[in-house]
Amino acid sequence: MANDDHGHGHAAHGHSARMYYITYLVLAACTILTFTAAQHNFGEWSFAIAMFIALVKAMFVILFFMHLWDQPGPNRLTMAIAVVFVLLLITLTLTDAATRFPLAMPPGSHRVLHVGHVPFNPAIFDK
Amino acid sequence: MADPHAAHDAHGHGDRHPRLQHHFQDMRTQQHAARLGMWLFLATEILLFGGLFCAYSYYRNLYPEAWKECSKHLNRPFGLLETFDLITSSFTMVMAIHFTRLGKKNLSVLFLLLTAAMGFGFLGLHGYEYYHEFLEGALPGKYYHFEEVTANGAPMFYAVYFLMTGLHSVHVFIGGAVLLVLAWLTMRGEYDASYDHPLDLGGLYWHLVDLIWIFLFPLLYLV
Repeated sequence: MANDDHGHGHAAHGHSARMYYITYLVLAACTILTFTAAQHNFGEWSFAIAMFIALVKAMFVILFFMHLWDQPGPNRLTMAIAVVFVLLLITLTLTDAATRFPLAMPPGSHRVLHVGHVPFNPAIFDK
Repeated sequence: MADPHAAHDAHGHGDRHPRLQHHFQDMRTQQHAARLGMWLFLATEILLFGGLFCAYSYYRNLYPEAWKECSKHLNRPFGLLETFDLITSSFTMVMAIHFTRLGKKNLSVLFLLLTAAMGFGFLGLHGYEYYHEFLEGALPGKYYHFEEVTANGAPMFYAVYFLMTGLHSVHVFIGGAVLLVLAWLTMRGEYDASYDHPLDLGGLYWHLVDLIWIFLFPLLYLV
């Protein structure tokens, strides 16, 4: 295995907790940061900022608390594939929702309301 | 690939760790297999939550106004407190494993119990939030009678909210129970520097719970 760890789990000596402290500090700082950012209005960017911070936190948890940083390839691949499939699911579903004929959307939803006023034409029932 | 019988002979019975299963060559291979199995399980967990994240994205896309309004009515400081609770518990979890590897059994037990306590503390905090939402009538579907938000799709927000946080809380509960068992076994001296695989896997599960919350907190409380 190319990405083998360094005798991890056996070498009790020299096992350092330094990265755990750093990760915890990063997580705490990011939590305060995302909370503070949410108090301000960044408009369209709010969502992107919140998700970016969440992603940074997630990477630290996965790489250091869950040790994917120093684990063999198959474990990383498993995680990566799961994430890719979730992203596929969300992207394809949203693509479908965004390109649908507006009247095919549930009543009262955003896109039906904002599609513009469609005047009622009784003539369509004449034929 | 070495012949397993050759490995048996080479090591002899005296060298084999009592926890090493006969079909593995050595402890490291056994731990790799256990971890890979756990990661496969975690992948299915991510897919399970992925369905709910997908539902969240879909309905948020349909009802952005309702999402904005309802999100404001969730208790942000509580969400922040719960987030700190979970990231701190993740930290105490890795420290518990760290102490086991250093041979400090009592510290390890203490940190495992702290982790479990924070898990159940999280459930308490969230239960308090649920209680208020029940009182206000901020409930899913036809049970919705929350007067402050009348935007279209508000019941959908609460449906998604209760499903996501509910499934997450179930995971916190299971994780907390697993941690208590692990603390008990650690106290009995089952784990040490040469064998801590169950602690390792329990820890992975606990971090996944934290990981899901890292996304739930901004998506539900902050946007």
